[in-house]
Amino acid sequence: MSMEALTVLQCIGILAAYLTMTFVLPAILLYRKIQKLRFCERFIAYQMTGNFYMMNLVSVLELLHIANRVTLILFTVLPCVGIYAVLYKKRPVQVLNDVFDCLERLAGGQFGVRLFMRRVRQAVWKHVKKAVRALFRRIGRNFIDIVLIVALTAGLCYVYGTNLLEHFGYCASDLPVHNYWVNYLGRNKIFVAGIYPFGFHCVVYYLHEVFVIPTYVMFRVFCFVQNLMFHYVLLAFARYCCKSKFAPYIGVFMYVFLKIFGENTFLRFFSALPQEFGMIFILPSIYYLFAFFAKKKKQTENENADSQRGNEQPVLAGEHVIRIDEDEMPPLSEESIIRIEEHGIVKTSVGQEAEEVKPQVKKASKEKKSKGKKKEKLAKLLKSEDFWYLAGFAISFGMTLSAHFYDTMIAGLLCVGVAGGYFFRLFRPRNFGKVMLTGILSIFIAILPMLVAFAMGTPLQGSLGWGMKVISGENNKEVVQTVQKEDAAENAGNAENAGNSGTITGESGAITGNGGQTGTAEGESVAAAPRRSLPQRIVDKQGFAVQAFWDAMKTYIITDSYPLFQKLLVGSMIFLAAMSLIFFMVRQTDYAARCLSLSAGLVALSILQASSKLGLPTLMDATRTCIFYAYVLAAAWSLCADGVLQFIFGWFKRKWILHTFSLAALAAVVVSCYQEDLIRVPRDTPAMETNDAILCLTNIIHDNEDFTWTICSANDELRMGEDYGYHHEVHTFLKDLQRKGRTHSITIPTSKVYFFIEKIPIMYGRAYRGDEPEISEMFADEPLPRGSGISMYQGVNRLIEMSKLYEWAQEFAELYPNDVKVYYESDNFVCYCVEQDLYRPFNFSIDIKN
Amino acid sequence: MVSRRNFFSITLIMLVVVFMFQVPEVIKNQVNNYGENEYVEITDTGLTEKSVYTASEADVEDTGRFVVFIGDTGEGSVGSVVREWSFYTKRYMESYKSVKEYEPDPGNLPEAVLVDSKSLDMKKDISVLGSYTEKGIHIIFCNLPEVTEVSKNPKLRMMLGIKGVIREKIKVEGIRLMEGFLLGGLKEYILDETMEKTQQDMDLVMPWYRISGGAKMFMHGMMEDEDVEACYMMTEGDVITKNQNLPAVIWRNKYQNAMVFGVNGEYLSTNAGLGILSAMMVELKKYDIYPVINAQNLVVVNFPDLANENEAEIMKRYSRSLKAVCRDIVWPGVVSVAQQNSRKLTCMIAPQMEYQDNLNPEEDTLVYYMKLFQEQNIEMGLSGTYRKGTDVSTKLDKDIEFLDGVVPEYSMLSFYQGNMSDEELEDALKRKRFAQVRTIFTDDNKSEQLVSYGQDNMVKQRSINDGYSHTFSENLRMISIQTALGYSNIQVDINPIAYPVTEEDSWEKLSRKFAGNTSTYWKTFSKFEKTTLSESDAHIRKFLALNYKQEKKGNTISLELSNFQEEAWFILRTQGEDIKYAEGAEFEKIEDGAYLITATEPKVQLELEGEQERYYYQLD
Repeated sequence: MSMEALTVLQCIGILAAYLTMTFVLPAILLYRKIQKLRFCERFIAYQMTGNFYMMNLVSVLELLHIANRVTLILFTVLPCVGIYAVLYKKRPVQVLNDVFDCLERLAGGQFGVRLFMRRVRQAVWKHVKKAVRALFRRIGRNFIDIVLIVALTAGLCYVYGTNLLEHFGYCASDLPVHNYWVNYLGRNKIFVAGIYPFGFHCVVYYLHEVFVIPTYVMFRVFCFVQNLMFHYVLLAFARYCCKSKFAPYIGVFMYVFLKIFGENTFLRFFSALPQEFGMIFILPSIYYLFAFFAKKKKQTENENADSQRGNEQPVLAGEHVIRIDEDEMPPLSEESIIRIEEHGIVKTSVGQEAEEVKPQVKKASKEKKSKGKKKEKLAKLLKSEDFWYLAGFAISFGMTLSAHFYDTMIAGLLCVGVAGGYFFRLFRPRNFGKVMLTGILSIFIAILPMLVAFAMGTPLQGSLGWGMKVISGENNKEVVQTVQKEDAAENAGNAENAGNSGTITGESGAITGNGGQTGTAEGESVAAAPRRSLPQRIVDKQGFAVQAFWDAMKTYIITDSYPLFQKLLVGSMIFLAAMSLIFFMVRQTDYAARCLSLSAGLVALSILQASSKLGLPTLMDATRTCIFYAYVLAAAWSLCADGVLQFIFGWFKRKWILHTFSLAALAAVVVSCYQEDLIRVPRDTPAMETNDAILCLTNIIHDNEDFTWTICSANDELRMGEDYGYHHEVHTFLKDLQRKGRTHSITIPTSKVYFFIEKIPIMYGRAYRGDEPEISEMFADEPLPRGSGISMYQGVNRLIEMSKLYEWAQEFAELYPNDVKVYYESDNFVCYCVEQDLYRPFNFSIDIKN
Repeated sequence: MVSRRNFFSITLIMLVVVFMFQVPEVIKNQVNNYGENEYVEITDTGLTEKSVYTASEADVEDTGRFVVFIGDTGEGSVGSVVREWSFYTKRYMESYKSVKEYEPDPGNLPEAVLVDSKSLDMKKDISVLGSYTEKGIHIIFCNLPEVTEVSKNPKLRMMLGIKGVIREKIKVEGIRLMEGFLLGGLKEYILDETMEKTQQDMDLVMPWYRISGGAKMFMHGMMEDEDVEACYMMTEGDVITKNQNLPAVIWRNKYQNAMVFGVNGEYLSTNAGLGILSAMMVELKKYDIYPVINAQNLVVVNFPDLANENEAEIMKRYSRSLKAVCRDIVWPGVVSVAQQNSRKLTCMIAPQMEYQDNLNPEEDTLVYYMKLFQEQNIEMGLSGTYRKGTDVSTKLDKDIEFLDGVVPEYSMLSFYQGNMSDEELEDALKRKRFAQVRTIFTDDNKSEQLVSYGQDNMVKQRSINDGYSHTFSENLRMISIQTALGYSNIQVDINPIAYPVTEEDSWEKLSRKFAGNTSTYWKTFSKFEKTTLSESDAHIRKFLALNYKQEKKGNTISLELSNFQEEAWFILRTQGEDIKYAEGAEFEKIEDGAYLITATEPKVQLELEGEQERYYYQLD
């Protein structure tokens, strides 16, 4: 089977597994309860439920050290059955009894096998027919939608999927680390390298364990699944926000298909990374806030209506009177009123009769009533929609933190935007408290496993420590210095200098560059300039901020080749704000608030994007911020397009006019983009590992029994094959050869040892000397590189290591011509296989010079 | 009262039952043509001694099969084994008494130079041998010089990859044969609690050579960890890889441009060395294909005894006559073992071993057995074994008289020499009755040729294993011969049962050994053809007559056979590659990297799976 075909099958398999857990299973359980919601809302609910369950189940079982296939399946199936039975009021015992009865009758011969089979067949056929009919009915109703979603999926496969078929290896250098952490989840060692958000790892581990998908395969192709998912979620979110049917596709299609975005905005989508996985949960948290506030509006309207009615009814002096939604109210007579006592107990009185009840009986009944009311309250709370919206917000916001800290930051900023957009509802005492409490609870839920581990003595993982420093401001000095240096460099017109000096290398937290001194000097010279007046300074600052954002946007989000879209980016913020004003005026409050929220969210993101240029603490690297920026921008563009359509055609009572024009607008955008040659071609993102190495690894796992082989290679195979075999570092091997030489034996005690040699070593984060990095005797004669970590396999060091290993292999093959076999060879790569008798394994420390 | 109707039914049923049981018996008796030997025609090849192919110098250019032996080639020497091996592998062999006599021809270099160390002049010859390796000529030391000589000679040690002599003499616990060298996989010749001490008959005393890291070991001594530690001061690395320091027995070292094999012991002095030499040649190449006999015989000699000989002793032991012992005890045992192992039997009948008593062989008994033989496809030959004091000539005459009386038309194709001398055998075979004998089966002799032509174009086949015994060295010899020739001959002699000497000579004890050995040690060679002696004779004639050329282009091995008749058999040994497709031949996998090829046409093409063909691949 070709690797390409295998990769396609693996993609399909993992997508099916993931959808089973995040769509099919939640849909089976929840559909009837939320069937009144729109599909986009249901989709988000299913996604959140499935992911939340997987993450937390694995976390709990890991903390209890009982995570394995059996427990995972057990704790998936049993709660599902339980929830199904509770929600749908099924009686599992009764069902089991029926089944046993049936089997008993079958075994006893009272029930013929043929009859039984016929009934089973009929039942299955009935369900299949029903399902097929329902499917076709839905396809018929939503034909255009389905076509567009298929087109989006095909586009995503083309844009992000083709790279998987071109490059089989990991495209990011930190994937082996994540692979390592997931491998250790299999050994019930969560947080093996320190405390870190493990949501993504838990999901990967769950799918690996339950669906028997090798972890290294998950990391190779899961990026495809998560790309699909966060694009679907984006579409669902846009669909929720927009009023027209097809305007949401405009922004999403532009985001996926146009080549206008800078590479940084999607480069990480070619790898299965936690941050990108966490993007699935950012927009849902905003959706739940929107939905919550929208629900509040209805409640307020109801309250207003009730209060108008209440004005016409007698009010008892000295007592607080509130009105409850009509649906939530118990049926009372017209004379009845609900009074809330000062101590909060609800008392209902009907005419004069209530005052005639004896005091003792009153007290007892009060207690009883208070208990009953508490239960009632809880039941009401669980039944109320706003509770579930807040719960959804808590879950999705919490999951951003479980997946990656950066996702929480973005979700938080967007929440600030929502606060801006829905200020008129948020800052009501009841709502504000609830929302804030929910936010705090969601963070608490997300960090609870980490807190438990921390309490048990597990230290923080390195990158988390760095994140904490950034938050606490310990890193600010360095960042400010860097920024000052950048500014100084820019002022001096030396862009190249600036680019080199201030590079923050992502999660490692290491800040390279040595321009601090220069920056300080420049800062002093700036300080020496004459002070301007306050208005002048404000104008200057404003201009500086706009310029800083403009520069950041040009650098990271949309390049200078597409000036129209640059303007569109900035314009969309202003346009959304303007639209919100219009819609506020025409009393489409929620729609206006959504527009304003997104606009405010984008402004907040803009500040984050330009933070280093503005001299603010750089909470997030600009190369990362732009990813989220572009993502949110897609939703904003959809809303802009929808706003225009709504403004023009929204007044028509017949909504099909609006939908038709939205489809026409989508078609117009697609055609014009095609004509302007703006369609994106898939980016070739090279992997950190050769295809040949992955091919060999896959074959080795296929050909051999587990733990009967060792791979001696540079790096990545260490974690990829950890569950199946052993790994020996090339550098260690060569160092042993050098150190032990003729005097000692070097053995690798497995029956097969594979040596992976890159004849043309790959670029692993550092360039080579010269253009042709081919292994040669010249490099083999150079001394073994000194140092530690990955630097051994970067740049010319990798060349030397590979050259030396190749030379050793040649010498060894001369000594053992029939035992050293070429397992696989291509122009760039060769894999040697040494088969040995374990009783007397080969001494790899050969006397090279006889 | 039985009604008429029921009576009729019962009678009818009884008749049907009688008919059902009787008719097959009648038919079997009618059809059973026990008086004729069914193997006469099917095993007739027409090949004689004249057809035998012996490689000549002229063939070397075509075949490339050429070795040089330095040393004595006299009877019972290493040289005779090398000669025999060269003959079987269709190699041209040049032999020289000493190193100085041989001057390599640069245009015609041998595959290897095999050296008997006894013929070496240690002062001069090692340098000369070293010069051979510079030219790329592989060296095989069929045995090693005295350990003191080895200690003194650093050049020799370097050539052999001997890092040091740890002890001049050490007794090891056992011998370990590594997987992939001889057919049959890994063997550990070391006693455990379940084995009898007599099982260990290998030469366990040897000099302890420690070989260097670049050498490859094929056979080495086994010792307890404590013994190793007591004898040899181990460094940290040695503790981890202590097994690399165990006494070397057979190994290979790369020296200059060639490989040098060392054999620490007399393993190549008997025909047990045939397979070792073949395996060494495989180690020198990426693949090797060589002809084999492909025959696995199980020969029961002196069975059945048709007269009630040694009656008193037999009655004492078994409470029945010898005839009854053979029929009721021995026959079921032998047949069941043969059937369990899918073996074909050859029975060498002994009508009577001692004609001095008044008893005579019974005709009915012979007919009875011959019918059974016919049903089981067992071949019948005649045994020449006789009791001391009996005139062999008279014995044979009486045997012939008896046979002529019962089965005059039966052609004897095989004859068992038994305890007859060569002269007696020669005289015996001059009899008219034995004119059709094609093959002579003789007892084991480790220094004589395993298969060869004897008088009147008769093929001599030697017994290789005694059915009642299978010691470690017998096992090594068996697998070595299987590796070289795909041939084995198990001999089961009934004479100890008819004339027991010790308490051990009883069937219940011997049969246990026979059944255990036959079922256990030949399992790995189940792909070789099970034959009777006549069938094996035909295989041998074809094997000896055959010549072949072979070449490999890409993944395809081409064979061109001459003197080919119907079928020829080869063993293909690869470095793990499997055969994908065969043209003009059939193939069966013996084990990883070893195939039995049955050529059915004179031109054969074997396509191997590419070394790099993997289950998962990348599209171009």
